[in-house]
Amino acid sequence: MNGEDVTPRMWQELSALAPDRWPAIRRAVAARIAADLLAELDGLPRSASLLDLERQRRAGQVAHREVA
Amino acid sequence: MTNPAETLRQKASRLLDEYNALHDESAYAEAKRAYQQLLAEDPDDAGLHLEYGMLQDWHGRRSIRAAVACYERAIELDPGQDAPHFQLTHSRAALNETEHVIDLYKKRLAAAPDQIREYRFLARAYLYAGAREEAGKVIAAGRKLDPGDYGLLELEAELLDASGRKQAALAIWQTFKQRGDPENLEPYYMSAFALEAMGRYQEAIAEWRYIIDWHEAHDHAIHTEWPKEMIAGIEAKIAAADPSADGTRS
Repeated sequence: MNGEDVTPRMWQELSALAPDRWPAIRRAVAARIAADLLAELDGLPRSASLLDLERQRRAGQVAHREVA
Repeated sequence: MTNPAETLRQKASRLLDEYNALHDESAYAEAKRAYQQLLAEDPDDAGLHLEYGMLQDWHGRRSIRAAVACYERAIELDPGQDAPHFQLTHSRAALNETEHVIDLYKKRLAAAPDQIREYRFLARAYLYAGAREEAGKVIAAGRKLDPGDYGLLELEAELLDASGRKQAALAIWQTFKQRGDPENLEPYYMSAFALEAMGRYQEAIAEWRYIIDWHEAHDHAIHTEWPKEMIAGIEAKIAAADPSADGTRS
């Protein structure tokens, strides 16, 4: 069994062992998972801005268009 | 101010500029007519094709932006539906505005971290932005919460496909075919695209034939046209690669 196998099994066991507290446990774990994920995503370097690309495209079309 | 001596070409260019600056639909309609007339008279004028292309490009983008507003309103009115979120991400991607949906779905995930759909929405936003590393991280995090979620598995297949790992993507789509919803044709479409990209033309044609049969069996004949066109395209590739082949070999 590797690390990837542990989580599904752990979830199943937890939900079976504590069905009444399961929703609260799941919410708490989810909050931690999401917080860790969002912190990790915010820590990654952002790729070139697609919004900038779109603005540059619009500006370029006006700036360089040759009017007949 | 309009010059009374203005030629049709000058008028078309003026209307193009007006439409770009002011987004007036009547300027678009008038410019379209002018360019169509000019192109009918001079179909080999590269400058005309360029300007007419730009007119259509700008108008198309404005139409997609109007679609974005529709999807945002649909989400407000019926927050439980997933479809407008997927459409919104598609349309934002077409406008090179995936950053808007990435920010939106990051906020939504922070507000509802136990909702698996929020991981799906954010993963798709990253995937369509071409941010595959981030998409993979979101899928992995969502799997921690719900390891068996089919939506995340579907996204995993799309991510693998986009990363060039088409064989691994095909394996997931095969799983969907065997265990998934028999009404869901997506794994067949996705398999057809991947198989064609891999040069496995006969297998790709087989996927398209399944899709055609399914639509015919469900009385959706209009949806068989595109698959037939796709088969014709693949058969043309086979013929180009080997003029002696007729595309019907198994």
